[in-house]
Amino acid sequence: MTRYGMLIDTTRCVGCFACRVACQMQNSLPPHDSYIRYEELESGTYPDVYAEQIPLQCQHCEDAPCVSVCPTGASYINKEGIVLVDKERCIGCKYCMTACPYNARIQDHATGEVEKCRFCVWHDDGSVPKPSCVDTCVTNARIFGDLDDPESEISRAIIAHNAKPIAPGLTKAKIYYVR
Amino acid sequence: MNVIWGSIIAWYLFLAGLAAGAFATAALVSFKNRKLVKVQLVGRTIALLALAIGLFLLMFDAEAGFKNPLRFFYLLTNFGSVMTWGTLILGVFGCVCLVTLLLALLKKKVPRALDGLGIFMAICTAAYTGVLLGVIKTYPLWNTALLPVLFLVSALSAGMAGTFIISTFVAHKELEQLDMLKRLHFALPLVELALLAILLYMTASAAPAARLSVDRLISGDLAPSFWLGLVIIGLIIPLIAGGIGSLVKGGRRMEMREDAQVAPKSEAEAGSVAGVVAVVGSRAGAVAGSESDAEAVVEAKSVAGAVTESESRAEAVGSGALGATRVIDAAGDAGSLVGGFLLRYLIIVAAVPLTFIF
Repeated sequence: MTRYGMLIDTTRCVGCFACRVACQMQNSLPPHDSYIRYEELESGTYPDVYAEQIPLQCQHCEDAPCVSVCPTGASYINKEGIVLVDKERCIGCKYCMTACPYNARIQDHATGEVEKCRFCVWHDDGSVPKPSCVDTCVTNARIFGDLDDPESEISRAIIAHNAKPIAPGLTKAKIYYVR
Repeated sequence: MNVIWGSIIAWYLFLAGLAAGAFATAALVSFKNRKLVKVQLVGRTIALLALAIGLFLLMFDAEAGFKNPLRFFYLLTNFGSVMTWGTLILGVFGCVCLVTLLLALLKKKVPRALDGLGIFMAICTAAYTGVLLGVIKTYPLWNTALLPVLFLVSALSAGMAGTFIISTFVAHKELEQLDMLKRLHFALPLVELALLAILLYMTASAAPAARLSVDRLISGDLAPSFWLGLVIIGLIIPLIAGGIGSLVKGGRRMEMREDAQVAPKSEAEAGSVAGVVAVVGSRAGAVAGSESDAEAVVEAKSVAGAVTESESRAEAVGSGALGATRVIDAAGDAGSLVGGFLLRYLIIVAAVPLTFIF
């Protein structure tokens, strides 16, 4: 079974926001909308302080709350574990947006439909082997791949860096973070 | 603050609760006394209207569905979603509201079983609006089993307030026979206050995000509307109005009993004018009538100086006293309605999402 996931190494992230811009270009999003957002975390006490830039997007949860609350079945998980929105079924009730604890969904006000990161799934035909954010990352902080393949780059990186979902107790997320 | 659901959804939650409460009020009145047709009609009309407006707002807020209405049929596909249950509940409740209102308008008897089903669906409607928010783990302020109970009580309170405030203008005679229901209705804010306090106290001690939500309400940016709007106007004023209302009514009932004893005597002595004085309901006049007939006569005569004037004045005084309690009742009802909306609005707007990054 293929089960796609992503690893984000915040220790390599320089906070250039190139992933966000690439995502907006890929998905024709206006400047104020994006599938990627950032949380900045400061820790330590002066002068030993540390600022961490954490890119957040759809975590493609295996137990996705957005999918279970969606009344029309527009939100679903495909056979490769990617959470998707069937826009033809979306009524724009925004229930999924309230249910997503990562605040990873946005509404396209032109159509009223709800959208989010889909791991650039429609390019997953060999023409674009990686999602745009992974492809564009200047420090290679992002790795995309098959979590079920123990030999894949992502699986090895997760073990090597002891990467974990951002909030392990919250949902079974498929984006792993190195922090 | 990133608010996903805004005031439109708050209005919908309020209107759905109002509809549920108004229907329950009409059905309870019908169970108590079928002859009070006007109050029932008011309740049933409010129920259908509020539900219709609320549903329109709901569809309006669902932008993609509003643009492609056929997509609303997909609402019946995921039975794990509270919104899907809501669709079913609203469908059945809406039908019951429509049928019972039509029966009432056609002056036909509304079957007891239909009213019973309606009350059950009204409870489901009011409670589901709380469950809708309650299952969302993102917002700890919503994520509590108490919310559906609070919304249920608030819905009954708002529904009764809505029905009674309109009935004050169109069916106040019928309303006077519903003292029990009115007193129950004015006790509901007390239950709401308790539930609200428990809800806030429990969520404040649950999670940091919940704490932030509660802080916003009780001491932050939303504090003015919380304390002044919800607590004082929405809950305390209805309580006080209910208290004054029952005191005045209790007093008037005693006076009427005294009047009944005194009236024959004074009527015999001082004629019908003294009777009018007694009926005015002024305790002094009634006491004077029983203590000293002469005084009563004098008073009666002075009042009777211009009989027509005195009669109209007596009526004015009588309806003035009645009118005052009616105004107080209406103020309480209006407060309950404001509170019903603000409760939902504040709970939606104050919700701070989980903070999961530490």
